[in-house]
Amino acid sequence: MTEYGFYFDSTRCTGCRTCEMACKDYKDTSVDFNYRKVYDLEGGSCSLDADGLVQNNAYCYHVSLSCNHCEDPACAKVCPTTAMHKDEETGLVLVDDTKCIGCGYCHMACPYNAPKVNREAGYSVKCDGCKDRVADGLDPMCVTACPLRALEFGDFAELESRYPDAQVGNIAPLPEKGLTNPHLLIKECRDAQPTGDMTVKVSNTLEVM
Amino acid sequence: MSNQKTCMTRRTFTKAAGALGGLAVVGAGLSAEAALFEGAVPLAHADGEETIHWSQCNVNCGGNCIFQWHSKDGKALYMETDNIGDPDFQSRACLRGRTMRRWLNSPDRLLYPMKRVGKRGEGKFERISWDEAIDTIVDALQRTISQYGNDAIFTIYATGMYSTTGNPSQRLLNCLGGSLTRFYDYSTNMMSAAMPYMFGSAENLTEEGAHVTLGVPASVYSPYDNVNASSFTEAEAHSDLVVMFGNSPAETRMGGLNMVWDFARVREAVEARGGQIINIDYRLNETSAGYAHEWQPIRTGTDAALCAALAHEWITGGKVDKALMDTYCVGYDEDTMPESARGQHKSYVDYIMGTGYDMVEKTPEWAAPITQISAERIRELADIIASAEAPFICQGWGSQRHTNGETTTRAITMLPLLLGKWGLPGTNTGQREAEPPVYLVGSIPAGDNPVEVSIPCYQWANAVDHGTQMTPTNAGVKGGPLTNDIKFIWNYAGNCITNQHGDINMTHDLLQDESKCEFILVWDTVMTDSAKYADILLPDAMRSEQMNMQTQGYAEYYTGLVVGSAAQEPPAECRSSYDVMAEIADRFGKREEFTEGRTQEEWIEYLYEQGREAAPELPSFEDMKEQGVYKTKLAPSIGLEDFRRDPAANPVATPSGKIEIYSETLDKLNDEWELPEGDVIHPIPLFEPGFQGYGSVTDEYPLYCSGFHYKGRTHSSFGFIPELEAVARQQVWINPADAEPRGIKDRDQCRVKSPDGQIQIEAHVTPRIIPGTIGIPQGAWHEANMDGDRLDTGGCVNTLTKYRPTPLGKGNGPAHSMIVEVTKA
Amino acid sequence: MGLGFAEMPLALFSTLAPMGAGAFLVLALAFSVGSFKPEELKRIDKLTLIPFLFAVVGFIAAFFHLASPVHALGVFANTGASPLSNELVAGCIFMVAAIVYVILALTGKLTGAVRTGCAWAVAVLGLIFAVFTGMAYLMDTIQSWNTPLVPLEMLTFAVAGGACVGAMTLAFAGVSFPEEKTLGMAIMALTLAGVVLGAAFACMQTFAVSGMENYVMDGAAVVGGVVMWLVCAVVCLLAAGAFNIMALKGKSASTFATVAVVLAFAGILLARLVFYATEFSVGLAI
Repeated sequence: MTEYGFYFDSTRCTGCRTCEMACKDYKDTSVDFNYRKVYDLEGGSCSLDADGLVQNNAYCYHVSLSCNHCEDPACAKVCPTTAMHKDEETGLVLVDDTKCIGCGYCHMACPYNAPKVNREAGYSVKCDGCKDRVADGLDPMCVTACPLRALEFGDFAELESRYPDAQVGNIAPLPEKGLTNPHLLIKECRDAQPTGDMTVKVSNTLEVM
Repeated sequence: MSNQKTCMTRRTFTKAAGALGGLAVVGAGLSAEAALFEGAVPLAHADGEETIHWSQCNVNCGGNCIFQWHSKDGKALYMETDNIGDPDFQSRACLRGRTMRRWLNSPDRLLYPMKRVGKRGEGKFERISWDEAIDTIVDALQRTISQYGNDAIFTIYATGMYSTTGNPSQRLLNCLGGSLTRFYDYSTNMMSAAMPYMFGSAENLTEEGAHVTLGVPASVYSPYDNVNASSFTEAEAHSDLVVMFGNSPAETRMGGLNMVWDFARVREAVEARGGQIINIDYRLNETSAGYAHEWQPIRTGTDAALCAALAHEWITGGKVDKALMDTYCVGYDEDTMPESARGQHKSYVDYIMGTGYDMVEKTPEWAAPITQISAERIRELADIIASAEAPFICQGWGSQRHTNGETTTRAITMLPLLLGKWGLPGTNTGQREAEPPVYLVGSIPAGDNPVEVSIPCYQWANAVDHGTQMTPTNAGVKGGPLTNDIKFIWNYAGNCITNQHGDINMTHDLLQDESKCEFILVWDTVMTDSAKYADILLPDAMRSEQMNMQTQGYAEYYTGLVVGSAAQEPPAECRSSYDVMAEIADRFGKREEFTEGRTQEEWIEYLYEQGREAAPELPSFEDMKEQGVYKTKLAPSIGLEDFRRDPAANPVATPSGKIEIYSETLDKLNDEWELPEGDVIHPIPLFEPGFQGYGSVTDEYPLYCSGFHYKGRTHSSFGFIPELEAVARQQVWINPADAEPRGIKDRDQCRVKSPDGQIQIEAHVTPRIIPGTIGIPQGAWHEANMDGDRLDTGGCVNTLTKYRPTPLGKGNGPAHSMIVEVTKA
Repeated sequence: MGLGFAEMPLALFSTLAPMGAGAFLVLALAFSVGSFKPEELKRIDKLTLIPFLFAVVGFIAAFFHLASPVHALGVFANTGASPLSNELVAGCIFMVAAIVYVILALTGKLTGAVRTGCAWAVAVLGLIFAVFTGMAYLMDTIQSWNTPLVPLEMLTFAVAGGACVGAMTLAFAGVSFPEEKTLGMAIMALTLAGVVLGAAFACMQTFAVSGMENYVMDGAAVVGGVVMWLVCAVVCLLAAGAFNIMALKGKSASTFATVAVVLAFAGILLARLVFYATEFSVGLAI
């Protein structure tokens, strides 16, 4: 059995949202919901000293997140119907829309803001890792879209061995990785702050609802 | 027709019905039409027969990124981008390109020809037939030509269409006897005007390209080549330091083969060599996201002051090789001053050392309060740059888009000159990273324009108002004084009538007076703010809705070509502009002259075959149509490499054949031209505050304000796509130090007021901008009650800019030079 | 920030169903300590419909929360692992017991110790259901809810609301509380414990959020947005208690008890809306 996951090179990410928009075009989601979202992080300060001269330690970085197809997905754990499940072949966390009641527990439970109930459709929707493309030997749309080549997708164990310097996602704004063991490998940029450091904040909450 | 029906969305249907019923007020709102794409169930991509269609993004970011459309039943289903070959060599579309299907299917698409029924700018139109539209245009052209002459027709600056057959407007007008044309552009106006005096101008060349006095071929300055500047690939190969002024490829050149990708590899290579990047900007731009230590905050519009102080440190610290300066430059110090300026302390060293001009020594202590950078840090920067073996010093187009841009752009190029670090591996000339030298195919040729007079592009509004008073010396007109005001504005795929021009409120009043400009033709796909001023408004077909061909763009350093076909049919009555122009030509009996007997498709084949003669490696046209995409890599380039190697054999096309730090020509222009009060054309690259620049803030307008390019739009293109607005909100950047005293919190609605207008905009309170300056993403769509308070709730920066052309280039310097006050709404 | 109106169906469910469940506790108590005439028992049995309807309406409201109620039978598929499945199992067991009880009551099949025993059985199942309703919100990824205060809150709401609904039911049946001193005292004790502890648990759980932070929200701001509503909830709950106690003291028992039920409903509903508005993830859920 394969366990698919994403690799994200935050040293490359410029926060451009191309991954988000490419996914949106392919999955045809509504204007207010994206399967992949880019979080802008800001911290530090840029101020003037008594002489009016700049004192600067401001910083920013970006984290692109979709479903992390976790090893222990919080969404599947709380799902009453088992509609939210981990695919046995691929490890992808998927929604069985014939079972889903649309109760929204997966949305509440997921600390990565991944699933959401589409009330018109009547079930939860989320990133499915472009499973059909992957089955055809293609990469997910977001991966093929990134102008900075900052995203990769593949067997998580292989990604881990290919990128020994990358860590399982444990930088702000991600929650403690042990909660769900996300299949998200991150090459941390210089400005990335560790999970738990609360001096940094997501600065674009209105853009990632 | 069935295809067109499926293109119709609920809202377009409503709009069409409204238009049929008579009056249609459109373009008033850009509300998010969530229902449009509320894909309750994702499209079944896997089912049925999909066809592949290629096209490319045609807007003006400088990239022509590649689209691979997947269509079914005559409808574009979704887009892939360039997915051919090496993943690292794919022209991947950016976020904007990836929303192109939303543009194609936008409920805001113009669907029918329309004529204005309200006042200009009101946006009230009535649907008419194509015949009536063309009749009206032909009448207006004939009337203008017979009453005033062809020079009363003006093709306004417009950049929404980069495609080989996309915009043959000038060709059509040339068939009709020509029109008033323009020079420079809104992107590089100040540098395009000033740099040729320093690095070479075609005016100093013979028709054969030889220097008029030296008799050998000489190089001419252009912001769009790889002769004057080095490529980022050269920096990747050899640089150990990159210094950038006002340059953020991550926000301006965002595609997968655009400069942002080249720059990512530059950083990785430079860092691997132990080098660093210094990103000098008034805000922490996205290019340094994750690398905030690269950011050197600076007060907006003061780059030249920093350059002067760095020069001071190098001159006094013995870092300048005077022999080298004397070999390659004019006017570094007294020794190379031209005869006319000898003994007057007008050299660059005199300026820096305080022995000439303002008689102030340009020490770091002098520059500190201007730039807000401490003297200590300036000295540190001087050391870092001077110690680099191969520094790549460059500037984006942000630094020059100021009222003092004509001196600032030259001041930045002084840095590599002083250190002698130019024309050598890994170095650059202080100019923007090089652009591609090869474009495999040409566009439909414009032909010859019998009208010889032309104006700086930003001067059109003055030419509408008082063209006949404009001359070479008072308005920068070329080819003689204007004999007519502009009476007919031809605007194809452009938004520079209002949105992207200066001072929208002033322009609105100017254009409402129909006795001045008598006719405005606008051709577009959606109701832009400029389109609201149309007398006749024509609905264009998108390139993805017809056969298309285009090369790589100017902001991507490779050679490429796409030949593509329609991903879906144009909606309703949208037509290809080529066909419409051919019909207009026909009414003048000029169809044959205009078309040369070719359809658009035949032009594409013809242009392709012409290109293939010069580049025989291109596949046959049939194969090219099949494969869609052709790409090859480019070798790195080193700016002014030939001049450096052998200046006598390869001079620059200045009067002296050398780099003219002191330009005698400019000094003369300053004497000869009639300049507005306060304007000076400086012969050397000094620091001047500029209009509404450093020192101009007041109690009423205590903050500096600059525009910046934003990921959600290419200028104003894509500005109506709600999906982009949702992930890239239009916000004014303001430092907490400026926000807190004003009671402004993050995401509060604010008013930004300048002496010329007022906008409403959401606040982004952020440490990513230097205190004392606010930043507004340019290109948002103007939205105001022009008969009421004129408060622009769209947040368009040009509601705030003053229409005050710069001294030399008569350009849009105020775009980044504003003074404002911000209050909580 | 404001109330979680989007979660109104859930709020109604978690208000009404526990109120109904809690009322069975009052009935069980009544049968244990009261001495009723046969006509009184008959009337009480008929009016058992009141608490039952509270629970039924609550469950119906829950269906409006679902995007696909037609799949609702699948909710037991993850019993054991999913706290929501567990809650619904507990809820269904309680409802089945309540339905059986009500049918027996309406058909006059309940007598003596059987009635008392059955009432206790339904009451205990109801309270277990209330606790499981609270436990459904215990997820380690939602820091504001992941506390024993939440099931305790649901239990005390069931007791407080149930005491009011139960008292009203008995009052409608003509029970004279002054004559049933022990019963009155017992219900008073339940009322008092329910409203005071319920209000206390709700406040403790809500105010704890003000110290929480994640990367997208500020706990203090979240609490700031609901604090007025929480105060209203507490006032309603305490007032409900006061009216119920007045009813139990015999003053216009039916009227006062009805007012108490309305106030209890309002108080618990507000508290539930506050609860949903203070969902606070350890991560990025917005």
